[in-house]
Amino acid sequence: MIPITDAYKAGLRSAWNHRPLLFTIYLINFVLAYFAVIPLSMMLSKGLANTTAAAELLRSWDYTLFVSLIREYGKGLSLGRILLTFSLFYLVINTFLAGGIMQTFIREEGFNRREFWAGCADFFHRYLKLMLFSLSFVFIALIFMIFIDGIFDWLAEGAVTERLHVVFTFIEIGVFIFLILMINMLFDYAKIIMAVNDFYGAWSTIKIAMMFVVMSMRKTAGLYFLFFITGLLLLAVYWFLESRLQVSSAFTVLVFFVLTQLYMLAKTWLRLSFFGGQYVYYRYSNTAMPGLTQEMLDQAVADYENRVSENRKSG
Amino acid sequence: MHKLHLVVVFIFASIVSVFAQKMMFEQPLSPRIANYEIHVKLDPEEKMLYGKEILNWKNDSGDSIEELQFHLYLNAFKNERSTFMRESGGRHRIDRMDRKNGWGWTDITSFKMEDGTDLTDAIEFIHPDNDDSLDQTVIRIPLAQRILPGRTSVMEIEWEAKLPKSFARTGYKDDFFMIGQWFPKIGVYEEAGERYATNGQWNTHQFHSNSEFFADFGVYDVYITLPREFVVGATGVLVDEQQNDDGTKTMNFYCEDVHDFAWAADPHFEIVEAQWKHVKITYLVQPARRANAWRQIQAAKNALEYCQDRFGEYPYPTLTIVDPKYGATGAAGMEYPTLITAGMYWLVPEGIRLPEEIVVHEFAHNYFYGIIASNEFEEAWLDEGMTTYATIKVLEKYYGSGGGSLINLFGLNIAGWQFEWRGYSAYADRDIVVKNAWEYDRGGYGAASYNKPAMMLLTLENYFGVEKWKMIMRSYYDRFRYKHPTSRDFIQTVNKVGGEDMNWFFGQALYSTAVLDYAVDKISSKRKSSRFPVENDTTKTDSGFVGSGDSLPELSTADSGDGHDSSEMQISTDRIFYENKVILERLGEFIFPVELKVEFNGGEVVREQWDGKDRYKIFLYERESRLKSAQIDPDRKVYLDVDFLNNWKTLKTSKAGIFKYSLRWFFWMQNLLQLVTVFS
Repeated sequence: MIPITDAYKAGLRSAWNHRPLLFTIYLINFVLAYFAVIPLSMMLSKGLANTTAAAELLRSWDYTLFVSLIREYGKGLSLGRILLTFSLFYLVINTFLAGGIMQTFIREEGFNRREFWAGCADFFHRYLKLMLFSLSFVFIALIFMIFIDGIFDWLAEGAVTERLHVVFTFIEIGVFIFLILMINMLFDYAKIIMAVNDFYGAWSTIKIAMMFVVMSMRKTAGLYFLFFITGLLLLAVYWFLESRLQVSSAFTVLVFFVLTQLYMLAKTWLRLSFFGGQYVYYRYSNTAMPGLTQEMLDQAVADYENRVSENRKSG
Repeated sequence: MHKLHLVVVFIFASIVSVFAQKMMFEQPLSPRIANYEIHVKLDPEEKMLYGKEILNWKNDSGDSIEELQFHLYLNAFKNERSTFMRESGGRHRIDRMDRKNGWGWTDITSFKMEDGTDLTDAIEFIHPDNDDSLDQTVIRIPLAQRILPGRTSVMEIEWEAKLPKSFARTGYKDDFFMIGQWFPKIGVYEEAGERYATNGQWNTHQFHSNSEFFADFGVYDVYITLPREFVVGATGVLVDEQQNDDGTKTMNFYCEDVHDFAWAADPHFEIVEAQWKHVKITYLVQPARRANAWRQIQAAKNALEYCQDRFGEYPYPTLTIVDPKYGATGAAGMEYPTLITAGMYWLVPEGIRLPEEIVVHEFAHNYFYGIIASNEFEEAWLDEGMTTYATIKVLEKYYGSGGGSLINLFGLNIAGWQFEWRGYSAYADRDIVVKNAWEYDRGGYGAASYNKPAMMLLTLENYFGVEKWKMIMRSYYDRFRYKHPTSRDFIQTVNKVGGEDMNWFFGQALYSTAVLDYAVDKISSKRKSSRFPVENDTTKTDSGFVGSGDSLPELSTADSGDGHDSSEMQISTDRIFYENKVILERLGEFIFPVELKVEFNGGEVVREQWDGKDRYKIFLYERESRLKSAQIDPDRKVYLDVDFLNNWKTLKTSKAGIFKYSLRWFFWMQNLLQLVTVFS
C-alpha cells in the first residue's frame, strides 16, 4: 500500500504539472467573484465619486463613512442574496468542472482542453447527483449537531459559569467541521471511483467509497488532513504577510492585489492536489495485491508522474 | 399604652439612625430628605426578602403634606398587567421575562407612623402616568395628620418581597442575587416652582419599560441578614458584620448622601480589591472570569480619573463592581450609587472593549444620576446622554490609540463615538430629546436619550473648546450636585459659563427633530484669461461671497473641473487664472455654523466659516491654481451631522481608496466561492 506521504507529494506535483488546469480553475473563480463584487464595487464608486472620502478610506478605515455609504447607496443591495446566488452557481459550476479535473488526472496525459471539457460534460449529471447526496449528508450532519447541541445544553444546564457552554460550543464547532471535512473526503473518493470505473450509480459509488474510506480510515484521513494542514499553513503565511502590509497607497493596493491572488492560486493548487493525491492513493492502494512491494509502488508512482510529464510535453 | 410605647421606640430609632456614630462625611453633602434604616433578611431558598424600614422623611417644601407616595417597583414583575409588562411585552434589552416561574412582587404588611397610627389599610395603588389602573408600582397613603413644612416624619414599614428571576436590573439566578428596587421607596415631593411643578405635587411614576428612577437624597443604614456562605457587595461601606446563631450573618452597610441602595449576594463571588486615591474598588467577580478582572478594574480607575478631572470630585470612599452570574444578563449593566453591575464573558478578547465600556458607562452614571440626580423618568438624556458622552471620552482617552476605542480586532476599528453616532443618525428625526421616557416608541428612546445627546455634547465641546467646556461641565456639577436639575438648568449653565446665549442651539437639538446635515454640493474650477486687470489680487486668499439663498442655483456640469473645459481653446492670454467655485448646502433644518476647508493644487489651503443659516452658500476664489478639494467640517467637530459622506468633494477621485475596499471584498468573495466547493 502506498504511503500517504508519497500520495501527498504526488498530489502536489501532479497539480503543479497540470498548470493549465490550475489556471483555468483559478480564472473561473476569479471571473465569478468579479461579477459577484460588481454591485458592491459600484456602490463604492458611486458613493465615493468626487469625494476626498475615498482618499481618507485609503489611509484608514472609517466606520461612519461605511455606515453612510450603505445607508445611501446600499438600498436594494441584498448582500445575502448575492452571496447565496453566486455560491449556488459556483457550486454547480464546480461540480461541472470536477468531471474535467478527474478526467485530466485519470488520462495521465497532461492537460488537454478538449478532453477536459468532454470530461466536464460526460460526468456532469453523475457528479450533480453526487453533489445532491453530499448536501443530504451535510443536512444529516446538521441534524446530528442539533442533537449534540441538545445533549450539551442538558449537560450544561446547571453550570455556574459560561465556561462549560463556551467549551461545548468550541467542541460543537470542531465536531461539525470534522464531519464536513469527512463528508468532503468521502465524496472526493466517490468522484474518483466514479471516474476511474466509469460508474453511473451515485448511491452504489458512495457505498464503495464508504467502504474504501472506512477500511483505510487512518490513511485516507491522514492524507486528507495532510493537505488540510498545508492549507492552514498557507493561510498562516498569508496572514503573516498581509498583516505587515500597510495598504495606504496605489502601489500598496497593487501589492495587496498580487498577494491575494498568489494566495488564491496557491489555494487552487492545493484543491487540485487534494484530487491528485487522493487519486494516486486510490489508484495504487486499490490495485495493491499480495506480493506488491514498496519499491514496486514507488516505481509505479514515479512512472505515473513521468507519463504525465511526457504526455504533457508531447501533447 | 401601646401607642406610647411605639412613640418611644420610633423616637429612639430615629435618633439612633440619624445620629449614630456612623459617619461618612463631616458635613452633609445633600439635603438628606429621605433617610432609611432598613433591616432585611434574605431567604435564598424561597427567593424572599423580609424587611422592615424606618424612614425619616423631611418635608423641605413650603407645603403641608396630606399624603405620602411610594414606589413598589418589584410589582412591575407581579403579573402581565403591570405597566412595565404591558409596555415591554416581557422583554428588556436582550432578556426575556420567565413568565412561568420568574414573577416577583412586594407587599407592605404594615405601615405605621411615628405616633403609632397604622395606615396599612389606607394604602391605595395609583397610576400617575396613564390609565394602567392594574399597575401596582406606585401607592399613596393618605395621612391622618399633615406633615408641616420643615418637619420630619418617621414611619415604620414592614414588607415582604418575592424576587423575580433575573430580569430588568434585578432578581436572582440560582444562588446569585442582585437586589435592586427592592424596598418601598418614597417619591419626591416638589413644591410649586421646583423643577417643572406648577403646584405642590408628588413626583412618582410607574415602573416603565423605558426608564429608570428618581429619588431624594438621604442616609442609608442597612442591615442585611443572610446565610453565612454568601459574599455580599452593597452601596456604601461595610461597617459591621455579626455572626448569628442560626447559621446566618448580619452585615451592616452604611452610605450618606445617596438616593438609592442596592446590594448583591452570591456564595461564589471572588473578591478582587484595588485602590484608586481615596476610593476602594471592590470587584465581586465570578470565579471563571477572575483572570480578566484587571480589565474592568483598570476601566473603573480610568473612569474615576477622567470624571474627577473633568466634572468634579467623586466623594464616596467605595466603588463596588458586581459581576453577574452567567445567565443573569438582566442584572448586568446597571448603576446604583457606589455600586455598579458589569458584564463580562470568559475569553472576550482585549480588542473588544465592551466589558470596559460597561464599567465606564455605569460608573459615569454615579455622576449623572448619582450625584447630579436628574429625573430619569422625565428627562432621561440628562443622565443617559451625559453618561454616554463621558463614556465616549473615557474610551477615547484610554483606549483610543489605533482608532478603535470600542472595537479593535483583526483590522476592524470602531470608536465609541462612531457606534453611538450610528444609532443617532439612523433615528435623528424620530423623536425630540426632552420627553417622558415612557412616551418613546419604535426605538426612539435609545437614539434620543443616549445617542443624540452624546453627539450634541461632543459637538458643543468642540464649539466652545476643551477648556471652556471643562469649565461648563464643572460648573454644572458644582451647581447641581445633590440636586435635581432639569434641562433648563443645564442650558442656563451653558449660557452663563459659556458666555453665549445658546438657546438657538438647544431649541433645535433638544426640543425639535431638526436634522443637521451640511454638504458640499458642487465644486468647479474654470480656466479663464484676462486681458484686463483683475480686480482682486488673485494671489491672495480672497474669497468672494457670490451669493446665498433658499434654493440652489444651477451650475453647469461642464464647469465641474475635469480640466478640459471648452473655453480653453479660445483663450489667448495675458494672464491665466481659474475661477474656482464651491457651493455648500444645508440639507437639514438644523442650523449650525460650519467650517469649510478648500485646497488648491498649488498647496494653498483656505479655511472659511459659514454661519449655515441660508440654504446654500457660494464661495468663489480666483486663483492661478485649480481647486483641488473642498471639505465641510474638516476636523470632524460637528458630531451631530447625520451624513459625513457628503461633507467632501474633490475634482479628482482617489481610485486607490475604492480599489482597496473593492479588492478586499473581491478577495473575500473568491474565498467564499472556493469554500462552498467543500459541499460539492
